[in-house]
Amino acid sequence: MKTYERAFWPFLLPALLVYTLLFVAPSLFGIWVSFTRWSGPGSEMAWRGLDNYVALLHNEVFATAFTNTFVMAIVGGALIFGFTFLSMVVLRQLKGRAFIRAVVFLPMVISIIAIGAAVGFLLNPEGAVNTVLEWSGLDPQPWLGPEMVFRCIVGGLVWSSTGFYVALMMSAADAIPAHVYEDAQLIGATKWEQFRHITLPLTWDVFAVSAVLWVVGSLKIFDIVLAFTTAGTAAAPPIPARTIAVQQFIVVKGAGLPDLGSAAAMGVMTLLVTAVLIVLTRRITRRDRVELS
Amino acid sequence: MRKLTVVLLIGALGLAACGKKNSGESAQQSLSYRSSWGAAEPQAKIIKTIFDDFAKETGTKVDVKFVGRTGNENLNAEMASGQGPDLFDTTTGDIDTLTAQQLIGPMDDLENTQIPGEGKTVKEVLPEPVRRASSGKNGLAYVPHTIISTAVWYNAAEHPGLNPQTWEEFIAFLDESKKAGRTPIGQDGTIAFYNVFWFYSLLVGANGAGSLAELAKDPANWDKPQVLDTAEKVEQLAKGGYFQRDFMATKFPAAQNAWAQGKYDLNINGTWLASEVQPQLAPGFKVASFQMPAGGKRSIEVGTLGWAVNAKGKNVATAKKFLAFALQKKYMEQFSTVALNISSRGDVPAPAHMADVQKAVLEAKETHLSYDYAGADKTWWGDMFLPLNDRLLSGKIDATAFVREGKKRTAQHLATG
Repeated sequence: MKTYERAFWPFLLPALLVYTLLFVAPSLFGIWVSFTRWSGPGSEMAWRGLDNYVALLHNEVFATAFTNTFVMAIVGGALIFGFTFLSMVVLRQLKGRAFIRAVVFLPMVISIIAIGAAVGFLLNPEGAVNTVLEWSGLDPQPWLGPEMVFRCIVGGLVWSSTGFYVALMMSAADAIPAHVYEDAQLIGATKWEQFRHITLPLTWDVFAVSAVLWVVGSLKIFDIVLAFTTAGTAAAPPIPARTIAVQQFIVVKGAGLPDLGSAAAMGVMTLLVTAVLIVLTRRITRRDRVELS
Repeated sequence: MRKLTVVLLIGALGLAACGKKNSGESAQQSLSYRSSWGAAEPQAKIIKTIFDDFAKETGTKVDVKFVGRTGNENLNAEMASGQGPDLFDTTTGDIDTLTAQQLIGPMDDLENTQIPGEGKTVKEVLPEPVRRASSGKNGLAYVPHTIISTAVWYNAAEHPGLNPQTWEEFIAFLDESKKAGRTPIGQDGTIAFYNVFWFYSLLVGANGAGSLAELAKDPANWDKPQVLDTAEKVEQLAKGGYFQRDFMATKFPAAQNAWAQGKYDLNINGTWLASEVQPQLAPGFKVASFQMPAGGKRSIEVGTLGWAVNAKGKNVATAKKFLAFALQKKYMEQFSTVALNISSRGDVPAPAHMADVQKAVLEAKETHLSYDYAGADKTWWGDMFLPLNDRLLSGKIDATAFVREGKKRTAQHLATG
């Protein structure tokens, strides 16, 4: 016991120092900045108390960004995991499933710059999608206009993220021994029943982790919004397409003085929301672990 | 406990070693520059030549890096902490930020410095509107090499000498184009700061510097008749069906490229347009421009791009010496002949397609800064004004609603700001 105690500090301290210096201190500093008006190093910092937060609560644009972020987390999440579960039902015994999995995963690998370029080519008023619609006698749509762009971004997000979760969940499903399914088939279980009673319970842990990963990631969604809107320019994405992270970027990087106080306040609010959502997600996904004996 | 002391000591030594790096001074003059131009851009090649010549003639050790637009995001923070290059790129729109962060210092000594071999001072070769566009509240903020402005662009091979002098003449051209089955205007409508070119050029062109920026400062300014009048003109454009189909859903740069291909007659844009669409230009296309026929004061936009001296850099004096050196005519000419832009020197002719703009700038009795500097209040500009203008230009609201909403929201913004 004595030796343990002696070794405790020398081993812990370097990590603790690095962690405090590079993470805890900057985080606390960020919280401090959220109570000030500040344009960055070199400029004067003025105390504002809760004014940054109050201004955000009154700001309609921030409200839109906030709602959009939530919709992405929840609707996007539902679609992604819906597709993931569906592919687990369909793909499990399919021949060439490794290939299909690779294809589904591919969008994850494509650079967001390339996606941005492709979006213009596909979804512009004179783009490929509208051209096909016109050939088939349907009306072309203003995909990237203020009314539809957000839905297109959610679609793009689902397209680019689903592969990751399919890969994650399928690898967990692959670990389930084949004889369990053989038994189920013998007693006449349908594919859906096999999924419901075997695959899902036995991969639930991985799903719980995936759900948390998705929630954390979705609250930081940024680059895909730019890819669908103003990529290649210094312009701010249109309001209907903005997320919290995009709004944060705009107040720091857009025209005029950076407003780090407001950006930090957005960060603190996101942090709080993330914490609440993670607790909720963990609650919803909490089950007793199922183990094969 | 002794071990704890050892660990702390090692940590402290490590930090001390990190800090040591900058304290070394060398006898030889040196100068560093980190550029927001990409190495392949013509500007980068010109700037590289100037640095090479400067190194050769003065024996200065130069360290020049071209990192491009996206490689310089942390530049301001770096410079504020005493790191960062001696020289960097900047534009009119950044002056306030740099001044507030105390990253740029006084330049009046440089203004009176002689340009090598020319017998003229820096101040003498830069026309007054150009100096004004490169100055902040403490005077000259940086040394400009390029003038930027806004104009309506067209193909002079198709419409030789097009230059409507009044709003009515302008609308007549649009109607005639439409009647002939063409699309009068191509607009990349997803870019809000391109959409606002119409309102901004008309309002500030007619009423002069400050007439747009003042809308952010007092809701009462929205009641001035010129605001409604300008909004009605933009409404007329929106309702007239002069833009391409679904232009608000057009992702940059589709519209400007299609314009360069001859699909649309006009495109309102900055002086960078011609070089951006160069590879797309249809054979025989002759790029030319006219100023928005705003009437009134006929104020012309003048913005600049240039080099700033990092006030916290180690070689401020050498950096200023370099700037006087770089302003030599033989180098500034290349910004026109090679980079195809308007050089900041009044005595260097612009490329043919920009002669109209240069003439407008040099002959202007009144000038204003890019976007009338209205973006300075970024929440007002980005969250309120640009989206409101988008709704006007896309025909979602009319001019009266635009003024009413603008006034109301400006009051709200100022109350909660």
